[in-house]
Amino acid sequence: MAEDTLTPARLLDRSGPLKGLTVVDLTWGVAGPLATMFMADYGADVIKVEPPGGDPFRALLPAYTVWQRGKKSIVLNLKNEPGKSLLHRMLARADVLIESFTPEAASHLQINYESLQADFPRLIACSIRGYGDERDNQHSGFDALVQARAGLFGEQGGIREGPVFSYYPLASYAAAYLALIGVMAALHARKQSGKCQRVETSLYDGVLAHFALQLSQAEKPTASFRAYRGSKRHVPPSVDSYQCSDGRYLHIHTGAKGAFERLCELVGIDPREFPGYYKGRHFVGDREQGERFRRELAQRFRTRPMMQWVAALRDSDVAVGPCLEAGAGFEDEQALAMDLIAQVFDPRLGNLRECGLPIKFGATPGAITKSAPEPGADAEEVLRWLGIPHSEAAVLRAQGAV
Amino acid sequence: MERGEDHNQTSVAAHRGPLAGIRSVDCGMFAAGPYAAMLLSDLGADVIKVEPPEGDTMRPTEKAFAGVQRGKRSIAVDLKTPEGLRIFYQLAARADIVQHNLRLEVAQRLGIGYDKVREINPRIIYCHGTGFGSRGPLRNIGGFEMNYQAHGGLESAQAGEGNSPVLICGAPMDLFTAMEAAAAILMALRWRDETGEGQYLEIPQFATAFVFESQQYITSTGPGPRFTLDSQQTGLGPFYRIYEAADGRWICIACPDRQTQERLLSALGLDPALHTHERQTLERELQTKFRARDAAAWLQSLQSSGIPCEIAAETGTVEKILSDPQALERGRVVEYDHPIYGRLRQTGHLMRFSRTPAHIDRPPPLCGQHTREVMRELGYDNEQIAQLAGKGVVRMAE
Repeated sequence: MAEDTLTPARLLDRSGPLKGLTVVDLTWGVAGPLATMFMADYGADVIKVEPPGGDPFRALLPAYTVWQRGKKSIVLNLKNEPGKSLLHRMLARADVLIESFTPEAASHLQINYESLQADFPRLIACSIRGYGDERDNQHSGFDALVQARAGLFGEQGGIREGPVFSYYPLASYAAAYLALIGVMAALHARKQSGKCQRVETSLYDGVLAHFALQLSQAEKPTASFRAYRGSKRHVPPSVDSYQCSDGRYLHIHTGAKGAFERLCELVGIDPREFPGYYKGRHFVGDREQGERFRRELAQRFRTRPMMQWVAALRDSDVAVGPCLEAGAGFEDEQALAMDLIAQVFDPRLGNLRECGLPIKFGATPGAITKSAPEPGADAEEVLRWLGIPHSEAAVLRAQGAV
Repeated sequence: MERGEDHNQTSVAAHRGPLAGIRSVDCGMFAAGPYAAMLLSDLGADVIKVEPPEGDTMRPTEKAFAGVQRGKRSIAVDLKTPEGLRIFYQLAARADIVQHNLRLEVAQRLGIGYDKVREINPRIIYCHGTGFGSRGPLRNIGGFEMNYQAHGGLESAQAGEGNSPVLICGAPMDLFTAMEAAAAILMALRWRDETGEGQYLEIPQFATAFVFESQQYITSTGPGPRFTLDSQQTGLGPFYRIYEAADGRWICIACPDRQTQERLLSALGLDPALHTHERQTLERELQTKFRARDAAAWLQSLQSSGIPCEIAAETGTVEKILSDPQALERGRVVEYDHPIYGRLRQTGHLMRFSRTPAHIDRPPPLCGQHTREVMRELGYDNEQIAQLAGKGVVRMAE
């Protein structure tokens, strides 16, 4: 691929909508780091506070190379008093604190909301928990455990019966967005009232968001109210995936107006033969006709290579996606055209291509300002920001606080 | 917790949520656009759903529709008529946010594009949800959940090694894009709060697939490290996966570091030194052990050894939240009367605010349920409303 099709990481010349916002980031794992990555991408000053030895998840999650980009790092020993008081000095100047401790650990560090409220009247404190209720314990921050217990693995369809493991940390991804929404809403409320508050979400809330389309229950449900299940369900043939002559798959969807008829015309099936399966824009009951339609469709798709079908379906205005290999998207023409892939220079790994900025702001685009910091890389800058003179900084280092 | 706190000092308005006083005009269809607007409504914004007289295309999916529409007021307007378009402009003039996920050319043809709306309201935050995006070879091409999952490589990743593509359940491309849109709108609101400037923003749904893939990076010599799901779809390695127990239920374990891994092996009666063995061998050994006892017995003994683990709940468990009285009491589940469905329960607050908790009290609207109410607020009298309804410009719910 030509280098000039890549998005260059433009350094510091594209302020985002969060310019001027300071965030103290005490998160680990997936949800918190992803939420604060968005904050940094879109202009906030994010200071990642790491324990001595660095955030242990650095070694466990290669994704930290991406998710920690654009942040500053300081290593603080929060188990000693000078370290804790340094954190509090940071909080006095920050707009947002975001953490993913257990409630006990947060109290221990005196960063539970009750202690913060009195000392930092303008600070938005965001907590990302496992469940956000009495189920929280020292292990409840693990994404897989929350998905397993909440029932997401149970809903996921796969090649066999029984629960299916999620490849992606879905609960955490959703919680990252919820935390971001919560913090932004609280900032707006602060603008109105001048007052701080606490906002809490959890990986479990993320699972609930993931199932928004099926988590409604009515006293007097109609047939279609009962019907929706987005999971282990019968997939109607005209929204399913099919194998093509080269062994590759494509995934169609005929939800748009007239798309079912356009599909039929393209592949040479007479839609009038399946009146019990499809009417108007909606699937109707006849399972047997549906299965016959699926067989005929499968047969047609097996006659040509996948990309040929994809082009033909697009020409016919039928929604389709080629089922690409995981990771193949980094070479995708459309993704490059939309700047969804960014190039970032990492001192350790060289030039990287990684997830770009998904939200396109017209006036304040934001930017990836730098790669992920080494633990403690920005300690001096942070201490300077706090107005701590060299002599005091040396003492703090000697005490093991920094 | 959230109810009592601060109650005396805080004004009643604050209890309408952090976005009290914010107005959004939502012309979204299907799931992604509307869910973004619903999240804003949950936080206290006044969201007016503008739908065509024949209703949102997704209404026939009743249950899925209800999941992304509560809290809004619906006004049914034909934007293809000059009078209807005028109503939209009046709404946009007094709104903070306009959001929709129509195709660009459709929005422009209707006359609700950004340029037009900005003329009327320069402070507007205008959020356009697109499919593959507004540039590039697939610009303005329509797509659905599964098309983005397929194209982004997500179905292949979820398939497991050697299997044909598997769709991730629950419609995450729709719903996660919606969450991203809500976050984006609020970031733009933050910018407006600081500078007074509104702006245009685009949320390409395709981009969400790349956020999912943000775990991956590519170096000049090839892809960086990547987890893979095994062919049996049980996990990402011997220590982060599910194992079947004697009773057919599955135990999920999450042992990230060597110490915990060794502790797990000891607790299972295996040699801790095994943790260095290759993936397949280890998984086989562990699976054989797990099959020897029931899931509940394993859970108890592993948890008492400090091993992070849970039983993987069966299909239908996530829905049980709706009948949990504690969840209802805490506002995580909400309940209200719906004109057709009777008592309707849905998940409620996914974020808890200490000072400005919002009250979720409106069920998903019928098409045009609030046409009259909203038009009265715009200054139309009953006679004018009846006249416009007679001409088919607006529609009221029966």
